[in-house]
Amino acid sequence: MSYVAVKGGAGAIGAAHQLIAETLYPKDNASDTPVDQIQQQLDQHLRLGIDRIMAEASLYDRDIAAQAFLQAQGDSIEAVFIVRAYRATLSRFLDAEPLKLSDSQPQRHVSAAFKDVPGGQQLGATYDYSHRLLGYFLHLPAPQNAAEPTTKPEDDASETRHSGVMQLLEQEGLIETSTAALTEENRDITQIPPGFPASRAQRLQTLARADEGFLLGMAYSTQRGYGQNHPFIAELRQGSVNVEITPPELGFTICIGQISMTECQMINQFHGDTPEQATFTRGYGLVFGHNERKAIAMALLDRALRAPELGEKVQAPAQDEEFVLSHCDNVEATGFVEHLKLPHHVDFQSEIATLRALRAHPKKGRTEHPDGL
Amino acid sequence: MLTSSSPAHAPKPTTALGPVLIAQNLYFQFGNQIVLRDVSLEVFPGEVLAIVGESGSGKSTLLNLLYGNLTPSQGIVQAISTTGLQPLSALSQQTLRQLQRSRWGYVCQNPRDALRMTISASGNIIERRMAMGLRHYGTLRQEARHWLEKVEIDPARLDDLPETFSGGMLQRLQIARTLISQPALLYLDEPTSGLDVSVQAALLDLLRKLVSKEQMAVLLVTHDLAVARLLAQRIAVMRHGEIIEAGLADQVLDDPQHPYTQLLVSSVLPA
Amino acid sequence: MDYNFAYLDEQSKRAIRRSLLKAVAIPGHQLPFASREMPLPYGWGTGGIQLTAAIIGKNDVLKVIDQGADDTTNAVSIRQFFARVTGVATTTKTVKASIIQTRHRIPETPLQEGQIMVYQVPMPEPLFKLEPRRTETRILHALGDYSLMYLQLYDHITRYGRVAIGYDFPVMVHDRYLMSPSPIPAFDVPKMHMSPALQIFGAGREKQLYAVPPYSRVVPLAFDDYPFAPLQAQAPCAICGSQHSYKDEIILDDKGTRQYICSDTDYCEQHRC
Repeated sequence: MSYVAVKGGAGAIGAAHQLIAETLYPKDNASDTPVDQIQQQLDQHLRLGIDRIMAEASLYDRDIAAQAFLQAQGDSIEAVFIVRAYRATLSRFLDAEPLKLSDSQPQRHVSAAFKDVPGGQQLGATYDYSHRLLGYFLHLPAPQNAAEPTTKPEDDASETRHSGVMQLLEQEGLIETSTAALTEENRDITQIPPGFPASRAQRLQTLARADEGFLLGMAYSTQRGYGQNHPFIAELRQGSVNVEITPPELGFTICIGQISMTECQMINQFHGDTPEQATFTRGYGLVFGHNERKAIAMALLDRALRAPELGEKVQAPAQDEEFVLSHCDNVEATGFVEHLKLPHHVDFQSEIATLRALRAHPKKGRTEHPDGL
Repeated sequence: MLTSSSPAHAPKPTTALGPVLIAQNLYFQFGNQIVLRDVSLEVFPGEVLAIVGESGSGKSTLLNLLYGNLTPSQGIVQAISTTGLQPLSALSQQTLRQLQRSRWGYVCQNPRDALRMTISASGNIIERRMAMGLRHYGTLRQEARHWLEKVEIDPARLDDLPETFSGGMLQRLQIARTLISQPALLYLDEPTSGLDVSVQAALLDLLRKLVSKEQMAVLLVTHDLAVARLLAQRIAVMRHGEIIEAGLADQVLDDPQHPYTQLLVSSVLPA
Repeated sequence: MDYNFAYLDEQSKRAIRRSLLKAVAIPGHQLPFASREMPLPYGWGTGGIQLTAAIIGKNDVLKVIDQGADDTTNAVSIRQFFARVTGVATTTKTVKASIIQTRHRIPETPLQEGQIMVYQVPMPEPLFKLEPRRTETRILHALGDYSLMYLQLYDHITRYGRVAIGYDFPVMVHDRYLMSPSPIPAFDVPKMHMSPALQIFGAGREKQLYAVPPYSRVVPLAFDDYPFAPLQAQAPCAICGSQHSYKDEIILDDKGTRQYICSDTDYCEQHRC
């Protein structure tokens, strides 16, 4: 299909969109499943894909995310873009109470720093120890002990509250106290855009909606010596948590539903100039849905970006706040990278003209022995 | 005791020891551009030879050739090794590096290029001693303190990071870090150029003291004739990649022969 | 699906063995090898798995430990993998194993001649925290210039009064190459010195392997007046009472009550009876 860009392109654009619509909603397929059913199936079978879209779009709505995923034909960045655009139209009526993550019923709860922790290690549904062989889950051996249920019994319900590993280390003075104060100015980066230097709260918000691949690559670089920070996962937790609001007209707190979250508390290299001052430091990651990779990467980057605060020299890309925060958003990045497809022929024409002019009048040969080499 | 092997234009100091650095007929070119043309010189123990010239005269390139960082297009450089004079072209990279870190020293204009800015001052000072195999922490500390005093930095700053030092102190630190191995051959590349005049004077004074105490041979590159006058016994003047005049410092500065040297001297020194 | 014995094809295994032979000939020197994607993720021990796959034969007896224990999830997973793709016998007993693949520990039971230790290595370059560029560190190894690492030890003593490296303690092998012993606790490092067993190290993601042949000198870096002094066990084992083994710290309750038990489960079991 040939087209003349910009001028007279309306017909071509209409046809291009028609092609997508035909792929998305084929008319001649009688056995086709209705769209809303496909969306349900997406959420059911591609849950983690939906989680990723919600996290990067920073909107927790499984139906909207599934709808966008389908409309984008599985292109997750396109889907994030669609959800972000939708999110921009929503009005905001209240802030939720802080989530009580330690009260949540974890589906996963893992500590790498300790063999066992309060609340117990809970493996849950994970690919971690599976073998990446096609059909692996179709041919699982029967569980060794049939009496043992595959999920852990919920030891007497939601009242069990365990202190976190971080709290225990804090009691012993082995880890710095937590530092991320929320103020009016840094409460929501989508309402009050942050500048540089950003506060930790602003950084964490930016990282939470950042592109997973970008965070992953940057976090990986810290492990390979470019801003290294000796990480240990104190607690990695994934589960559903209540969202509570306190409407002013009611004056008390009500639960409006549950969302799935993944949280990573990271212990990092110690810090301090004297033996007495030496403590471990923290890195923190929190993501919508079930996404351990991103929560861990976020915690690594949070710690790397705290370099100036902790008196460390900023040497590696991952420690450079302005570099990381300015380039981690995939909707921004994809827009600017892909805009190169747009017509640029006016600019380019002037470049051609300049180059032609340069070549038409070559400068006289250089002096053989210029003063000052 | 005198031998007759030195180039005619380079008067030799009266010493029983032979040269620690000999350059013979060096040429160097970048592409078609000849940067150095037929440069020869010798440096003896206990003397400071200054190479002066404007920026672009080829003096920094020459220093890099003499230090082994660059290889001449033609000509030979011989320098003191653990087994007497050796042509640099015959040294393995490993031997060259070992020499650079023990028998030779190099002080560059910007101390930040040479120092490890994230390691304490004392760590910077004793790095060469550890590279030479010293493995006693207490002795290393002692030596670090000793050298900090020698370059006139408050010993209380022993474990501070260089980041907290002023420009002049950083240069002193670089000097301590370099001289701790007691090199036989020292290269100074514009060692005081980045500093205030008052700081320069104190540093030059210190360098003169340190250099004259050890039987060190020093090759000093500078564009500043005042620095050359203060430190050097001999001066070689470079222009367009050639040594156009060389001789005893007083002679070159007070009675320059070449018109360019005359211009240089008259433009810098008060008449 | 059917896979070749030990998963990899024979050609790939032979290529790894060739690199291993060279590694044995140059103790402590890192060699690149054509590391492949394995069905377990990078970081889980793909280097060790490939080395084990390359050397394992039908008569071998394999032990796999992670954090010293045979029953940790990753150890179980890797052991099951090899059981599935080789059918060889597996064991949890150190004395019975011909190949021991490990992550982060060396068994307490002394190794013997003929045994092979396969270490899983995340970062084979011991200097990476001080100089991240591999182009630079390769030169430093070639020149035998390790003053960077000594500087770090010096800095630790100055700031903390001791060398504050708890695991992955840098060692010199045969007085020539600086080597990462893998992230084993410093406590385990002396077991490497003059060990009668062959010790091989694989880093899958970094595509490097190296080796310490039997009876090689493996000496942790230290100063004459600050000798290597790894932290010792804090308390006797709550299960077997051993005073000498490396312990896991277990948090028992919300008040932070701690208990210490042997990290080497096989040793703990032997020691109990």
